[in-house]
Amino acid sequence: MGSAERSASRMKFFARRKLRADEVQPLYQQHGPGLLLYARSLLGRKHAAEDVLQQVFMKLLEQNANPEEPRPYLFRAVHNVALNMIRGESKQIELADIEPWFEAPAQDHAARVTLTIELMRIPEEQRQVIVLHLWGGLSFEEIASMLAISANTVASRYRYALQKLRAAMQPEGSR
Amino acid sequence: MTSDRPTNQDQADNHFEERLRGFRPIAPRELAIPPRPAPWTALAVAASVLLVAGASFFARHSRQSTAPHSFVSPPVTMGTLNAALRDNDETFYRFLDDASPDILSHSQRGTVLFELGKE
Repeated sequence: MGSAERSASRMKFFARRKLRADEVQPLYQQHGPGLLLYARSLLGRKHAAEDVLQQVFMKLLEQNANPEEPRPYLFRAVHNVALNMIRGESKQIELADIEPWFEAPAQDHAARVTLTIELMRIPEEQRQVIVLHLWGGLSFEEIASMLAISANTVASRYRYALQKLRAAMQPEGSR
Repeated sequence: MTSDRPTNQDQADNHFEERLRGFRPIAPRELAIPPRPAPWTALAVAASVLLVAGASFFARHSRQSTAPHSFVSPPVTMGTLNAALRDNDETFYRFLDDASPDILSHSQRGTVLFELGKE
């Protein structure tokens, strides 16, 4: 069995019972920020991204099953809903929509704006991979399964993205 | 010869990854979960439906049992009619009156007596 198949099989559902609200809330608390970031990396607008999250979690509450591994399932669900939204509205990320995607780390206030802008500037396929890996916590295999590409492709996209971000975020004097 | 020791490039990548992980994505707004009806609510609804259905059945049943035409008259036979006629006319006509709704119903739609009774 290949790695992608293994990963896919881990994401299958247990057809058991509906999740209760008190079971969904912790998932939302735990994965919400990463999911929101991923939705924003696809959609740009914060409100649209939050709507995607609401849809995904409402669906999770309504369906008569719960995912064996919530993290890959949730990112995949956000991916699908966001892409449907993009198809429906044919909207792309616009730099005019910029609001920082990150909370400011204590030592790096201005950098969060720079990081947001640079994430928007890199190609979407690289942005997806770096967001899913760094802030979503998905492995390269899980990302490969989710995006239906090879793990090697994921790794190379990740490296390219990292290089571009690092070049953009280096202090002026050290470039 | 290859070495497992991390190169300067790898170390720089790792350091930069750590720096990026230090940026925490902004949390989404609160999840608005509509309240799901409690199981006892469904039970209460079911009980109410049963109560209403039972009450309506009881009301209909009691109406039927108090209706005048539910009076059980003795079966009309040639023998009883002959006996009544021998006794007196009053008994004979009372038998006929009691039996007539069953024989020639004026309350049943579509009969001639029903149509005449409307006028």
